[in-house]
Amino acid sequence: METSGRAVGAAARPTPTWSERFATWRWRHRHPLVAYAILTPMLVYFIIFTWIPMLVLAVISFTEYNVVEWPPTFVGLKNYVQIFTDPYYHKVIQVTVTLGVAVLVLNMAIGLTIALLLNEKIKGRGLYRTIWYLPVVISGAVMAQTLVIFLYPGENGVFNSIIGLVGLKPVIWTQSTFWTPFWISLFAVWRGVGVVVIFFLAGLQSIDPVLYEAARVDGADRRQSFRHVTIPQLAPITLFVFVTQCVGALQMWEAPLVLTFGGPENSTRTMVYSIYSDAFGNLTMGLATAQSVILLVVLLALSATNLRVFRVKY
Amino acid sequence: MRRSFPFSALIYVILTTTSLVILYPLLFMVSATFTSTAQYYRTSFFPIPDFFDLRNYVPVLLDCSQGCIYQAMLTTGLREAWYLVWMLIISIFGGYVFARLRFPGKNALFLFLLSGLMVPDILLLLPLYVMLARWPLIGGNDLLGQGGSGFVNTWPALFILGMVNVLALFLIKQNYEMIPGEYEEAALVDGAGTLRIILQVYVPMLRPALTALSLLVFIGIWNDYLGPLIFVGGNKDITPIALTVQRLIYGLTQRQAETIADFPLIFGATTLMSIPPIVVYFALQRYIVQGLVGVGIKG
Repeated sequence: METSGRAVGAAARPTPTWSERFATWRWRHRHPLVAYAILTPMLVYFIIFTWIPMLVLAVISFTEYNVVEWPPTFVGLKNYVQIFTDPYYHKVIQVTVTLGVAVLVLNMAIGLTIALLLNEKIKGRGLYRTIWYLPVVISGAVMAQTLVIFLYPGENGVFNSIIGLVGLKPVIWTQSTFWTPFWISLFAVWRGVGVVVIFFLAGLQSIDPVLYEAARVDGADRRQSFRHVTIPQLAPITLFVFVTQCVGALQMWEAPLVLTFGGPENSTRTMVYSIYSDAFGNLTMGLATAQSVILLVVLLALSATNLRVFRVKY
Repeated sequence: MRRSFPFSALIYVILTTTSLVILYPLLFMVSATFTSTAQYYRTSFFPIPDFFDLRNYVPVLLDCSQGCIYQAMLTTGLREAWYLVWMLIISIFGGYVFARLRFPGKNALFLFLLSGLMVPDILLLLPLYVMLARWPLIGGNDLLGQGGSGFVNTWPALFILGMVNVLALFLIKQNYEMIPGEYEEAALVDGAGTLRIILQVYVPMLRPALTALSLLVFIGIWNDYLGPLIFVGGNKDITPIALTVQRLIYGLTQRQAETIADFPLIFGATTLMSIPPIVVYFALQRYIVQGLVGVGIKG
């Protein structure tokens, strides 16, 4: 600090040496110096492994590339045209949206219900919360692979023996274009609903008890205080959870990748699985990246909605 | 809020039933590992254990058909250590820089980093694969990245991606901003340097958030599947645990065509794979609500 008062010190002391000047400069700029020393490597890494890949993604989507022969051949908009005209890709988009909406609706409805119940004054809240979050911490890919055992077609397959308890005939689940998407959607809900519960519960518990107190003093009953306190107070987190769940639900891949391989009859060919199989199964990297770009645009648009909420919050 | 008895009883009934449904596949899985194959087929909606030893676990640990399980655990352990250390470094120092220092371009740089959170990791796997495969002068590639296979199916492919955890940086920055500046000023007066201030003043106060993030990173890396499948899927000696176990199970279920499938053994593999994240989750779960909610952005 003492060397920074040069105007005063200049008359009393001899001209500072170069090393003194450097020390002064370094002290004055200590914030930017420390900041850039720490940030430069981080930013370089970030550019190489996040922004350049985005660029590579966009470039390859305008080419034909079989993963092996380098360089890719430029084909313009051909991949995009194919995705928007080929019935096969319409099916992929339809499956992605259908399964996504099913998972989203179930996640939101179940998650909110359970969170509301857990928010009541009950014993063992921690235990219930732990149970609901448990499937989130274990491997989705491995559990999806295990699903094949539950769907085992014989009479002693797990789900078949359960429906057998109420006298129903065994179903060959994995050959049905209704039951296969049904079960893998339920699987995705089982895997992910715990996150929704945790978020809603946190949202509910952060509501100021004074508001409920005030509603009670004003003579509101349970239903009215739910209607006029809980719902408006929960609105921001609901929007946030809705958008993140939407983004997640459109990226379903675990069960299709390890279990159904998109079948039967493409009824579980979700977009992320289609991207994977186009890239590494059919070796059509151009089509795979074009689908990625389309999905990315949709997901970014969704996330942008969240950014507004998130700006308000922070 | 006052409630009548039937109402609160109903809440317990609903919560307990639904929780059992959620728990069912996991209880099934653990129970099946203590069941002989014959017993398993007799009680297939819920296997009732008929012995208590580790006969469905030991063979899994020693299995090497899809790459050795113990080796995969070691590989995954190394990845855990690597990514935990980097997460801590990036978030502690990066968070400090953005929360406590004044410098030109701060907001622009922060938003630039934050933009990474909007892009789902899963959609960058393809271009990253192309980049790793065509990386110049690596794995038989020439200067233009042709001729070899680059980093694909090699050790570095498991370690060089995702070292900068922007989510952790963001959360820790938020936590720094909640700490009053007086602590730092007091330490400065005592003559402490920047490094000392960060490590001895701030880090102890950031511990809950750092613990929550470590938990999320641990679970994420332990279950990491799609990245390893794409980047090192062709080299079974270095595949991490989730991929190795999934392939082992797939192999065992495919075998069912010829003989009776050994379902209890399959569940042994799944249970073994699930123990570490569950143990860590139980040990640290009081931090997770705080962590997740604080994160509040990526879910």
